[in-house]
Amino acid sequence: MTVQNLWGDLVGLDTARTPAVILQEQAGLLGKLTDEVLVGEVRRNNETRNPESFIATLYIVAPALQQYSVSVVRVDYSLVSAFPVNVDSILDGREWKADSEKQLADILSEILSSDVVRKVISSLIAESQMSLQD
Amino acid sequence: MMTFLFWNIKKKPLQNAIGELAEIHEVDVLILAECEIERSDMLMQLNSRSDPSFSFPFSASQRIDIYTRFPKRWLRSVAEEGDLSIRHFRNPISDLQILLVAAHLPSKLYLNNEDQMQLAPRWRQQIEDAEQAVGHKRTVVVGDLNMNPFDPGVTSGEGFHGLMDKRIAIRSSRKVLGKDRDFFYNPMWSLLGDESTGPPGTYYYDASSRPLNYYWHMFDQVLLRPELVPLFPSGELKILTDAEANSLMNARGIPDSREASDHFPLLFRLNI
Repeated sequence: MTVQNLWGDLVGLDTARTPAVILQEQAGLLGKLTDEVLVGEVRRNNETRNPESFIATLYIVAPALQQYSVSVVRVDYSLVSAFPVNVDSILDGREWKADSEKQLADILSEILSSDVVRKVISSLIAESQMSLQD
Repeated sequence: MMTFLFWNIKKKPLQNAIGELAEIHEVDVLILAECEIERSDMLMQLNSRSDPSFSFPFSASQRIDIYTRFPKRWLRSVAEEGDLSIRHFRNPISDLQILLVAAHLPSKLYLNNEDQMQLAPRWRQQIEDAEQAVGHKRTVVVGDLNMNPFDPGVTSGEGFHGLMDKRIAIRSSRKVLGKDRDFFYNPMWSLLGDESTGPPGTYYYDASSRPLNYYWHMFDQVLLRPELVPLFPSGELKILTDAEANSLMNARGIPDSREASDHFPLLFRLNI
């Protein structure tokens, strides 16, 4: 007996990029931009008891410093609809709400290229290079 | 004995008082919150009085500064989680290992008890992730939690799970709705109130006409995982109210926020 498909047509389903996917893309870029001295990592936190909420955090990780990780951005959104998304800049405590992918990209650009993040990246690279020379 | 001092210094230039405290109490690990003192100034002040000298192990933390008299490489950074700065102490001679979680959690000015309770699982998860990363649970949490020992974020199994009774805490964990939740022992309970050996709390705030007004708060706390409880000697946890030359308390008997900080420092020792 053929099993009846109750799912409908899943081909061509809208697979919009979620905030976590966008963070993951930036995580992947960090390694290329720093010759893999630093890498980005997105951790999906299961810290919330709300099953409809999804939290992901972007970390800068220094492999040469025994995987020392620094959390930079946290996004918090609904599984049902990715936007609006709450965005926390962890290093300086600023918070935003993005209503669209474009807004999220603008906010992430502001955070990731901010002085405080650049300072952290710079000191992590310096310390990693020193550690590799030891 | 390994001696720890934690102090939220309210962005004040208190290097002189900190140097005095570090010298008098032979502090090994100095943890500062809300510290804007240049590290070179702090080290100069500490090292004019200390042998062996203090150093500042590398960290990207924006909220917590940690200095130590141990070799820098014994205290490595594990993770920065914004509110928590997590370090791993390892003495390579004895192979003693401790996970040190230094906390400066968000202020009650911006969050109420319910908000803090909502955030507490995040902090619990970050500590558990770090414990998994280093492979043990010999964890000390110390810092300005901006919660009292009896607040749900500190006591709840979904939060820090800090208990007032070490006999219960050494049972290690309990099941909360089917999930294992590890205990912390929270010795700060023993220092609450005016029948304790020190001041009634570490922070004073007169909430004026609000219905609920504790006046004193124990925002600055130490929590220990059960494995460290046998190494925590009785009587070696103190709220400090004076440095060598200066009182940290004003004439009203509360933290002198004009001349010092609005928090008292916290000193504790581990028998290792």
